[in-house]
Amino acid sequence: MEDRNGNVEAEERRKKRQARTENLKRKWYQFSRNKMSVVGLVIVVLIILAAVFQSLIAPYPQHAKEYVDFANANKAPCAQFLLGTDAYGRDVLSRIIFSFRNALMMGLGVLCVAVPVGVIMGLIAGYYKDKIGSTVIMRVVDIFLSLPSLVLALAVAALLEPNLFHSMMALTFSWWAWYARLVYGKASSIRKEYYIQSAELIGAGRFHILFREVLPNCFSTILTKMTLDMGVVILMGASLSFVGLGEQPPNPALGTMISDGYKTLPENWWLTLFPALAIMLIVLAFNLLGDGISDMMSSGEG
Amino acid sequence: MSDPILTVKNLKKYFPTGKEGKFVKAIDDVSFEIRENEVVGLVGESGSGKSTTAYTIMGMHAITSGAITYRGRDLSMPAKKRPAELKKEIQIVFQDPGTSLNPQRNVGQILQMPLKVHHIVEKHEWLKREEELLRLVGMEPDTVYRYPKSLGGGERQLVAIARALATNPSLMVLDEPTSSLDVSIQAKIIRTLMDLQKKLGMSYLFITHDMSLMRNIADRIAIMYLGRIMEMAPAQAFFENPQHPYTKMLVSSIPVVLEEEEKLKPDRVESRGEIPSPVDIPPGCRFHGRCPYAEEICRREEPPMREVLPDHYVACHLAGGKNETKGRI
Amino acid sequence: MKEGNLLLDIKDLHVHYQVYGGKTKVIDGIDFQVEAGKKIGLVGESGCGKTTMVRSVMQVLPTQARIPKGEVFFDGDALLKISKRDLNRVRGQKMSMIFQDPTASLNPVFTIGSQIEDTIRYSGMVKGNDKKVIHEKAIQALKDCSMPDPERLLKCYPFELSGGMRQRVCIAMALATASKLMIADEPTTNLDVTIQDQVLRLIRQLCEKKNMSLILITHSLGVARMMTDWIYVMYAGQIVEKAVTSRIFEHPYHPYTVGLMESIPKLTGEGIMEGISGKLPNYLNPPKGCRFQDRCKKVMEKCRNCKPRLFPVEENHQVACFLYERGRAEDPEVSHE
Repeated sequence: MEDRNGNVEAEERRKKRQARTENLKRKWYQFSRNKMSVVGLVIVVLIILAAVFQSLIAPYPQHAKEYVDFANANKAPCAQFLLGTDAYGRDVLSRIIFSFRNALMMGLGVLCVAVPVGVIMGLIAGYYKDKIGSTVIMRVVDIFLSLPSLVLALAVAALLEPNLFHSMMALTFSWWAWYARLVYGKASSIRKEYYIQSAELIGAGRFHILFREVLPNCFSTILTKMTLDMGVVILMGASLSFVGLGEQPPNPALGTMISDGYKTLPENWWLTLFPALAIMLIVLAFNLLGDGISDMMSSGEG
Repeated sequence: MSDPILTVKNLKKYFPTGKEGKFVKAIDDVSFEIRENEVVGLVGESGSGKSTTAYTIMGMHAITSGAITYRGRDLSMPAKKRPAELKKEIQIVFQDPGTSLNPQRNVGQILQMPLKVHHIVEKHEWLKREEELLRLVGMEPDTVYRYPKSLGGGERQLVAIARALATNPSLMVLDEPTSSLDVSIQAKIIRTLMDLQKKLGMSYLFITHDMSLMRNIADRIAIMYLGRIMEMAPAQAFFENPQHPYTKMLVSSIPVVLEEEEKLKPDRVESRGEIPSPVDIPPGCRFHGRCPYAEEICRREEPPMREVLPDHYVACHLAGGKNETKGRI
Repeated sequence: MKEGNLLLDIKDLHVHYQVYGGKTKVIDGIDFQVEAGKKIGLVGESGCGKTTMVRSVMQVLPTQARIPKGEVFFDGDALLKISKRDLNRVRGQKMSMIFQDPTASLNPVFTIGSQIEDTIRYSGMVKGNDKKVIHEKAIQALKDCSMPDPERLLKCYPFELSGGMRQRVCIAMALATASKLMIADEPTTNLDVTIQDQVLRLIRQLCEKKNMSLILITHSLGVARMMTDWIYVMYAGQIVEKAVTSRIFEHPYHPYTVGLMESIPKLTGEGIMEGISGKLPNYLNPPKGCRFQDRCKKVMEKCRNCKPRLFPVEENHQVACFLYERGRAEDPEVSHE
């Protein structure tokens, strides 16, 4: 008897696994139909790898911190320093690679807090659309949406000690509202679907309906928005560090590098151009990836 | 005559339009009953209020006035306030199998939910019961691992039926369960439904706009127009001896495939006009604007429901007595 | 059919779609003819490719579609070969299409009038695009469809009309420009029977009055019976039976047509038949031979290997089934009665 049960279970697992692989294959086809999404994915993966293995990849890991080598200061790109060096003689390429980790941390940090908070708020407000609670939540959301997040971040960073953590906090403070708004819209349309109605009629609990029935159907929208937002948050982070409110020197940050570099334009152009290109590349890659994910999810649900 | 399992009495459901004193009168004084082991067909055009009637019986809308009773117990409250043991007894199958199953959950999870909520079987027997339910509707038991999007429209509807059966209901409300399916698939679903009805001794309230389908499955048929029942009769009498001009118009508009069917149609009442807005219901008989036989009295007085023949009710001033020559009595 | 009278002649048409996992062979070698002034019904269930087929006539296929083989002749033009400009001229002036969902085929932000007038303008049928002439044409088009108060109607927005009225506006729009062929893709599927009855009668009257040909795509044999002269029954991208309308209802031959007829609930109240078990073949790897083989109760060895072409069984009646390879006498038990 036990043996039979074991067999049944193994069979069950096999079927589940098979269904999952088939599903993944189909998803990949839908994703890769647009070649640009694949390009985006590759760049994002490369950037993540670079951020993880920064000290192995960077040609001069010691240049990421306080380091002075006036002999090689302000060198234009050459074989020894591929992207040139800055006023202290530090390798620009190494510093860019070292700045990726913080940039990604910034994006992840903000989204890890903002998304759960926003999603839960939006889910509740959307499902109980005609109730008072929903109105209260959504008016609060409106207030947060009306505050420009960059200005808010500037204010927080100016009030508290300017550093990466505080600017992240400031961004998170206004960012969740976007997710609340997004999920609110989605949930309030899903609650009219027959499968929700039938769960209600059968008598399923609120928790089940909210998190088992409604939420999974919001995932695709949330994931797409998250990918796009990674780019935007990183851009915001760069803006903050450009005005000196993000990561503090000597730690490398793309924004700081640009703001230091542009004073020496046009002679030392590499100091501005390459960090700027790096920002562009990150934002572009996440946008392309976001488009791909949206393609993958939209046809997957049909 | 057996006792009714469900009684609907003077049911009204008005929806506010946003304008002061104006209402969408979706259901405007409807009374009928469903007897044990009976299939009652509710037919009508879109906007006639037939789906609203189904949803109100299920408790998806609060009632404006009137009463619903299930085996003598009051059911006039919305679903949220109904006791669990009554919820279990009445189940619904929706029209669109595309949206009645959650695309993110597999068939097993979908069928598991009612078992869990109503504690139908112990946890370790869930899977067994799920497979049983699937076999009951004629599907492979290993469908439990599949997701709705990998199923065809007909299969999805069978899963929806299996979900409704999970709580062992005694009354099923079927809201156009096959209207979005192809006829060759419809045939299978309908046969499954009718077999289940006999086997499990359920009653059905079957809502559809397909009169030919109704002819083949219903014991009694009620026809709705603008929120009110116009005629109600046993299926055979309803088609062979229709009394209301609206019934005649509807039946003679059906496109049929056989010469024999053509002969069964009543004298042609040519279709004209459209169903008016349920906000401004015409005074008198609500059908008089489209009725070729309308007389002075039809414009003034709302016809009451009368029993013109045994178990055959009509809401028409002219039916029965005066209309005999025009009908096929 | 007499060759000289042909308005539309489709020869051996194939349409493929590029999808996940390869090509789906949605249309697989279809021959289809429409005589001038005749009404043709194209009957089949969802997914059989009937919409794809007429879309390839109109040349409005989605981008993943390819036509690897086949020819479409319409009124002297080879539609698959002529230039985009000529194609637009043919589409604008000689044929038009009515879609299933009138709500989606009318733009909600423009008035009925501006939409009908635009259609007339772009068809290039009014010389110099004289506004007055166009306006009169639009009114005439609505009058032709026996719509009350056309002047007022022209100022309405689509949401102000009922479903039946919208479909009538679409018909008016289609008729305002087309002169030879009207393609109606499930024109009444979303309408109630009484309104369907009105709309179908209208389409029939107008086609007869203007002596236009009609291709009526429908899943309902009943609607086809009411409206058409000839019927083509389609299954899985192939024509399985074609006949004069009255014949096909008296005596369907193809096992699919027979099954379809049996599945339809009848007013005679004889109960519900079995239906057809199984489902459409996978278009990615359709079975070799007849595409209906897996659902057919009378399947033979030959059906699994060879593709049946249309065999004549009677005058004006052809069936793509090996049961009738040598005429109908071969298999008397198949007879429907």
